[in-house]
Amino acid sequence: MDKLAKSLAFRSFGHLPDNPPAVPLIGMSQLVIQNTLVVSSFQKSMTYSMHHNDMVEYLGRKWEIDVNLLHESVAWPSIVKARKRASFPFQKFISKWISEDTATGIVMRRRKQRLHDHCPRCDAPQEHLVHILTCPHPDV
Amino acid sequence: MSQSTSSLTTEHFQSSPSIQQLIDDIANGVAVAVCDGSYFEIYGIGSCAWILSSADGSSWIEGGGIVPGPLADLNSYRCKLGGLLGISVGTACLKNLLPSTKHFMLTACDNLEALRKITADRNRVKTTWKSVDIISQILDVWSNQHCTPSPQHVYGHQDDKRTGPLTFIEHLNV
Repeated sequence: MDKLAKSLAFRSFGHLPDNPPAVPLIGMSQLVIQNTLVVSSFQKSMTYSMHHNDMVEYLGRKWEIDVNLLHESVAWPSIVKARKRASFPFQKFISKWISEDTATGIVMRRRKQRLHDHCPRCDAPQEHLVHILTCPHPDV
Repeated sequence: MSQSTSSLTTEHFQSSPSIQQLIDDIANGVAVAVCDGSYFEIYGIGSCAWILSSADGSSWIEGGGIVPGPLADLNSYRCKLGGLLGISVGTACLKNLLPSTKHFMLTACDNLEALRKITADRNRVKTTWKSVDIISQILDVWSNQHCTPSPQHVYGHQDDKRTGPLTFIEHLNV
């Protein structure tokens, strides 16, 4: 059956058959969100559809990026998958990096943990996120 | 059973020249049903295939098709559930030829979690489950017939791993 299933999939590469987008539910009410039939985890899907737009609009305002561009160009489902696969410490790191709360020189000075905001390696003033990625010090 | 359900599981459909032996074996509870699914993440395509076979393999019905659903919800588990739906639909098609007394059919799949779902209590199906649309369909189709699935796990890809001969169910799963 494995071989047959694979051969059926191979046949469909490039042209999907005219099947309905999802199996219709028998004995359960249908849930359609934004013209898409929800087939898994109803509560999670509803939460996603309610809060996703708010989040994208917030990011658009924060980073001064066109909201439509964020909607169309970013592969949000892939980001969700990638975040789920990442370890908890890495998820924390990503959250801190996005919210600009990573311990850069500027942040550490603001937190009063350091006297100055210089880069500890190259001693450049005002160490920020971009500097961490582009620090010219040979040890980086 | 809706037309779309039967079309998605029987996009490919074949049978042996005679299915009398299969019907007899189902009635006697010795027939086997095996399914499998394949998911190609890069292409966003999932397919399933299933077979109902007599105990000696001489009489059979097989089918399969592309598993529908939003791309975000498509995964290997959903494809296996598509195969299990195919088995239930295939058996439902033979309903009029089968006895009206309760009988069992061995139903094998290589996904243990998907297999557990086909014997779940219909009243306890949760909307938080993944691919709950297919699960609810499977349970509804089985509940409308006298045949009851008897789930059995089968290890997949045994043709690559096993050095000795394969069992009949493993052979069908390959």
